[in-house]
This record gives sequence, C-alpha cells and structure tokens, in this order.
Amino acid sequence: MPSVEVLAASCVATRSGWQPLVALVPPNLLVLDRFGTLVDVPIEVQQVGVDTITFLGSRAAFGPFAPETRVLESDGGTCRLGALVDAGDVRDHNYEATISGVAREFRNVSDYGLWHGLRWLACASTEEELVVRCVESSAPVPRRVRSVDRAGIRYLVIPRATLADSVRADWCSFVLELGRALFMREHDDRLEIPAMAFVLGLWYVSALSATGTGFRFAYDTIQHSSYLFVHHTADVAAGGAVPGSTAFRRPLTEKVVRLNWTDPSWNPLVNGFIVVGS
Amino acid sequence: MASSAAQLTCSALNGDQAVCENFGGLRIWAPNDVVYREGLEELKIGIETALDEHSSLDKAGLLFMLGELIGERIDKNVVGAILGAELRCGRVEEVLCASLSNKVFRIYVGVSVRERFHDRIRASTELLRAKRHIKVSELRDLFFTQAPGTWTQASHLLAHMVFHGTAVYVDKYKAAWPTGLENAFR
Repeated sequence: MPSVEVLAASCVATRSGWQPLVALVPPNLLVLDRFGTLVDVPIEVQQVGVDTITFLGSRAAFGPFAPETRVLESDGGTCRLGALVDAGDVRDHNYEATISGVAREFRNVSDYGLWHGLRWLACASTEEELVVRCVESSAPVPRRVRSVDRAGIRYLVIPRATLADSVRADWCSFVLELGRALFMREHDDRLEIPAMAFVLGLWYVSALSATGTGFRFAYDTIQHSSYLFVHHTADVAAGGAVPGSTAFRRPLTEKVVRLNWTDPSWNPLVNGFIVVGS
Repeated sequence: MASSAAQLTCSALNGDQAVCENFGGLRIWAPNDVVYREGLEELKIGIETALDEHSSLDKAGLLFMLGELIGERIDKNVVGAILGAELRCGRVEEVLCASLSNKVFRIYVGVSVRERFHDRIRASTELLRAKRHIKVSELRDLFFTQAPGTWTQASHLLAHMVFHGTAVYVDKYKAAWPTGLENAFR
C-alpha cells in the first residue's frame, strides 16, 4: 500500500476546497490518477509523530511538509524535502503546476480550511468570531464583515457563521474580497500573506483561477521566506513545469501524518504539489 | 592578518586557489578553501553566539555584534547570505514586526532563546491587556537588565505585538491595547 508522510497542517485538495489534514474525518482527497485526471478517493490518515516544519514554494504552489515528504518533479523524479533543504539547490528542481485545474473540482465548499488559516492570524478569537489585523486599511471590506479602525490600523471582525454562509453562497467572490481586504499592499500591487497562513493563499489563487485571472507566488528569498506574496497576472497558467523558488525549515515542530492509499498510480495533491508514495 | 570571516566577499576573486559557494543566488568567495571553511564557521558561530546572548536582534544589530565578536568589519552581503542559510536550516527564526509608520521589519531570534522570546510576547500581551498602556521601558525593566541594547530588544516585543494586532503604537516609546476589540465580539 503506497504511503507518504506529510504534516497534519499540510493542506490537501478536496471537493470541499483546500483543507488541512487535521480537518478530514473521514478523508476523501483529490488525487491524480494514472491518466493525470483528478479523482475523489478515500485515503487513510494515520498519525505517526512530530517533525520539523519544512516549506517548499514555487511560482505556483506553497506550503509546509514533513522533511520525509517526497514530491514529484516534472521530469518524473522525486525529491525528499529534508535533503532538498540541506542541499540548498531548490531552483534546480521543477514541479508541475496544478492549482488552476484544482479549483474547477471544488463542489460543496466548506469554510473549515479558511477558518483554520484565519485563526492562525487572529489577534483575538472565540469559537464564533475572530479578529484579524489588515495589512492596510485601503481595501474595501467584504459584505457582512465588520471593520474596526484603531490608531490607523484596520481590523476585520469575521463571524464563523458569516464565513460559512458567504463561502456556501459564492466562495470565489468572498475569498477574493477577503484576501484583498486583509492582505493587499497597494504600493506593491500584491498580497502579503504570512507564510504560516499559507492556506489562505491557496484559497485565494484558486478563486483567481476559477474567475479567469492568473497568479504568481513570490517569496522573500530563495533560502527563506516569512511571507507568501501573491501577484496577479493576465494569463492563467494551464499547468506545466515551474522551478522551485524556496525551500527551508522553520524551528518549529508539527504533527506528522502518514497518508495511505490503495492504488499505486494515485498521487495526492498537497499544498498544490504532487506528492509521491513509497 | 584579517580573520577568515573578514576575507569572505561577494565580489569575484581571481587566483588559482579562489573558491566560491552559492547561497540562495549569492556567491561567497574566499581566497582559498581553508579560509572559506574557517570563515564560514566563524560566521555561523558568531551568529549563534550573538543570538544566544540577545532576546532578538535586527540585521543592523547582528552586523554590529558580529563585528564586535570577530573584531573586524564583515561584508553585510556575506552576513546576509550566511544568515539566510541559518534561516533555511531552521537554526534561526525570523519574526515579523511593525514600525510606528506601519512598515514591516524583521528581527532574528536564536533557536536556544526562541521559547523565552515567545513567553515574553505572551506575558507582555497579558500585561497590556490588563494595563491598557505599556511603555517599552517597563518591558525592559521587567525582562531585561539595564545593559546597552536592552531597550531595543524590549521594543521588538511591542513591535511584534503591533504586527500581530494585539497592540497599537501611541508613540515610539509606548503602545496601547486596541480598545474596542472585545466589544467587536457581540
């Protein structure tokens, strides 16, 4: 039975959108089958311990993995992320861009992944509402979300119920409005998303792709990034190989889970990358 | 004779024995392999020592401390490349902060003091929540000695809280709890 180790905080593509693995009970994931088609299949998730958070980023995907995670390269080879970070040669590796195709497969979109990312950013939260500081106070506030301005800083107060309703009604529009309100830096014409809130970036670019706008991820440096920057582009990349842009460890540990599945030809999509079982 | 660390440069060197290594797109050159290895080690140990001895340092502070520790001025691009490698390997944490003008700046925290740094952030947040206003000097007196540089380290705590949204600047020396956020919850 093929299996791969990833982090419980890693986000997988599902019919309900990008969701952290901790949220999936029972887990059904979108995987690429032998024909390169996205199919919805059950996968077993097993907790196996803790390990260092290891980020991998390209122009088209970004997120945290376990050091033992193996990611598929566009030439058919694989790389173990811990070894990739140690070697420091991420730009010599190419990966398939997948996100623009994934958004088309979202059906019954759930707010859990968004809530999970927002909670990480929140400066105050309850089970029902949370407050997040905006990068700037110039972008319009999404409908049904309240803003509070203090000393030139804008905060958004986001009720869970509003998030759930808005996502259910029109997830693309809501995610785009929310992303711009929270993260847009007008001067640089880009979104600035703290790296640990990467799931919000995955949702945002999926919404962009679904509405026919392209995107490009960018980072602080090749060796490390505290941010996931999102740039808008005119063309929607249909796929293809893109070089790695950054790979690094953070001095934090996180729960590791093992994904087990039955068909050796399946490859799950994790954080927008194609992972490989062994 | 210059230390090995001071002989490292980002400018291409001539000579049969010159060596270079790529650090995230930036090449570091040394006159020979021995100087390269020794210089790299000196800088790694210097960064670790400087960050062990401080709660946090910004890049200018780290450059100054390295100069003090090694006894010579080190090329800032070389330090940037080696610091990048330490960040890549998870031996240093970069923490985001907000300035008075709402610009983001970055500070660096060593792995050995990381937990203490975040404990201080939690304690400072609770203190601010209770007191509503707090001065940088109060945090310095609470967590640090009167040694040079400790006011700056205390200001980093507030700057990170402002970035996160749990504080707003009153001025350079003082921050306030963002009143009204509790009322935001209905």
